[in-house]
Amino acid sequence: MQIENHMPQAKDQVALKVLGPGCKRCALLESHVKQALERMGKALEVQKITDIPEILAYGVVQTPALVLGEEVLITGFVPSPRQIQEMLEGKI
Amino acid sequence: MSPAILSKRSPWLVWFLAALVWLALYRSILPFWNWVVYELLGMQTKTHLGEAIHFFFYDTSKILLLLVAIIFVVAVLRSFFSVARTQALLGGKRAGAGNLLAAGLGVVTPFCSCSAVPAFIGFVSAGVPLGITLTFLVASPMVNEVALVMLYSLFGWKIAALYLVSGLALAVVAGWVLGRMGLERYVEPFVFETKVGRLSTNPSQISWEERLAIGVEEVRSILGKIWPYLLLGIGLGAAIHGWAPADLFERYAGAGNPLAVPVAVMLGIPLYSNAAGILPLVEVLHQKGIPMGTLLAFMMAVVALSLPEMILLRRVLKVELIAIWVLVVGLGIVLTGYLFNLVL
Repeated sequence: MQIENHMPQAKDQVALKVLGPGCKRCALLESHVKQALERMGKALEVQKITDIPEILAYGVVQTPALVLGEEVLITGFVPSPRQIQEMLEGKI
Repeated sequence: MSPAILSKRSPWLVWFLAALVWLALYRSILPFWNWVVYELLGMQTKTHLGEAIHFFFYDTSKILLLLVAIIFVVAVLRSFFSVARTQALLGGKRAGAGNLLAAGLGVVTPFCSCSAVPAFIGFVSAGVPLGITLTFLVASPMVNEVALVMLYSLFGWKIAALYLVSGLALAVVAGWVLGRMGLERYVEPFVFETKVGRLSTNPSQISWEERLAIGVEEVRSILGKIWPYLLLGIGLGAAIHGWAPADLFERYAGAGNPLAVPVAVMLGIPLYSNAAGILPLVEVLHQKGIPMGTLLAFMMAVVALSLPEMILLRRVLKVELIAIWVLVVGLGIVLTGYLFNLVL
């Protein structure tokens, strides 16, 4: 087993990251996240992580995924903007 | 009451009504198109044009309805599975039973080829043997819900079941054989060095509302992707159905030509259309006398061996391994084709 509890150092606790090697569903997740942020009136930057070892370091094996700070909120599916808003509510 | 308010109050009622509407539609499309084509448009039955037009509209609506239902149900069922969980289940499994489990999980785990590379590395790091990982990667595209629906609607449940069982069997055997060949040296070394964090699953339990939304989204994205192929395939099918001479295809690819199966498989590998575009053609080619085994082999080669996925996997697998994989799976498909031609 090579699974380790090693996580990349967070520079910014509230950074939102969309993880995915650049497929259609990753782009869809990114646009849903941006719509959710817009509805909440938050101007938060959404980073894109496409590097596969970096994605795996988060323990994500199914893309697309959404990470807030170091916490993986979603992996492997694309919720609607409203559902993403509910997940982010109170966290940012 | 607007639908939005209704769905807030009682989502189950809405889904129940949707199922009823679906059933009513499904049962009325044949009489409906009979009426439109033969009465409203005044086409004659038993004429090339009339039959072709009827075939096109009836088949398109039947297949679309079935696809909507099956893609939705499969996506909702799949939301209970995840690659992370599959990986945990397969970690440290032995060949044989492990391959069987991997084939089953390959079908039900939600998986798109864009996740193939991270999933592959995840499997290796979780200690899943290479052969079992390959069984998973073969079964996942091979047993395809779109193909299953279309086979069922065009040829009946026996052919659909045969496709399901032989697809699974092929994935198990191919993965087992590849596992026995000791091909680990053809995996890119960085795969073994990549550090995988503690596996993340969706932390909060996914709600039913989200699962159903996943289903709707999947229907939208798959249909959005395949509809041009579907229309093109059915259109071509309708044309051949109406006009091509009966013995044209039989002469070249009929039961009398032993090379038909391998040629069909070789044609199918670079063709990465999808099942939606291929199967309406398969239907008319069957009516024109090409044996079912040859056609099933062709379809399996199209869905299971796709060039784009191989190119993605090239990042983790050396060319040698990809070549051996294509060879073993391709050979398996050819044998399956011959077997079906014998028994059907």
